[in-house]
Amino acid sequence: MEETMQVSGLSRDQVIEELMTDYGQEVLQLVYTYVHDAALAEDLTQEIFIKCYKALSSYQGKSSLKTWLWRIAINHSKDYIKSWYKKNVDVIETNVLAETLETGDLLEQVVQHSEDDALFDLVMALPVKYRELIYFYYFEEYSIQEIASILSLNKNTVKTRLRKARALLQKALGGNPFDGNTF
Amino acid sequence: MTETRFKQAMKNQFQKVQFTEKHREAVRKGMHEELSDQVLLPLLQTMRTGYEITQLLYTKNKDVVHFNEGMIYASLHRLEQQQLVVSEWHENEKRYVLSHKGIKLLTKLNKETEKLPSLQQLLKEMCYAND
Repeated sequence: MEETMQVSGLSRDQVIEELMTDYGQEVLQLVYTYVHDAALAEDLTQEIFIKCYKALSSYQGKSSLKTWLWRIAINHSKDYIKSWYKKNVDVIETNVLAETLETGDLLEQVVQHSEDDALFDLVMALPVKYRELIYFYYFEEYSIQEIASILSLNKNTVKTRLRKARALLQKALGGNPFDGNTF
Repeated sequence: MTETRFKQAMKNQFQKVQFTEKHREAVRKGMHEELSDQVLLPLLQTMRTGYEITQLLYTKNKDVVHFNEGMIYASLHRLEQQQLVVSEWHENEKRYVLSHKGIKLLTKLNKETEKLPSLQQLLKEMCYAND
């Protein structure tokens, strides 16, 4: 991915300070993509950096520090979602969401919002495994290889899921959301 | 809709979240607490006064404690509020020792960080944190 940051010479505070400067905003955006609640995303992002601080002494330098940070951020967000769902949501409700997405009703529901809001809501309504790919591929513009590495997935799995994610969006929007070839 | 348009739409949405100095400060506070936990909890397995702890750290690293005596008392106070330590008064001196909850946290900390930073390293960081 990128150059491995030289950790050894710096104290843990300094490493975290640098990580916050370089990736604070990106981590926050990623977490927001997962939880779709600004205040919650802010809290979780703070926890993620503190978690990194705790874990830094066991960082082996096997992956780049950036990849390592992304993985902690992703796991922390997913753990939160899992525990939240367990506490609050019936299985039925997620099915309703899936159906809504399929019938494209959601677009009508959010028609009072701006087009941007509607599109974002559509992305947010995608299952997490597609949503994270949309974020990394279309927004952060990472390569398939990089995404595979961050998410610990096979390259082909990433490609398949991306295709599926686009198909879902396409269906909901009633057309191809992305012109041109993206693979 | 084009990809560029889609990206712009996402970008506009992300304006709603901004990583600011406020968040950095909260992280710094969290790091600070974490660090003082790592330094102080092992020392509080035995009942000690704040002064004894200061002296103990002083013998390990002279620069640190000179600047951080206030910080040590503040941390002891926080640990007590979090019920990680309990205290008792003994001949006009307050003595602190790990509570049951504190012992559990220390065990967890030891397990979590397989490769714990050395005390020397921690003390250096404390010095830095105080700059």
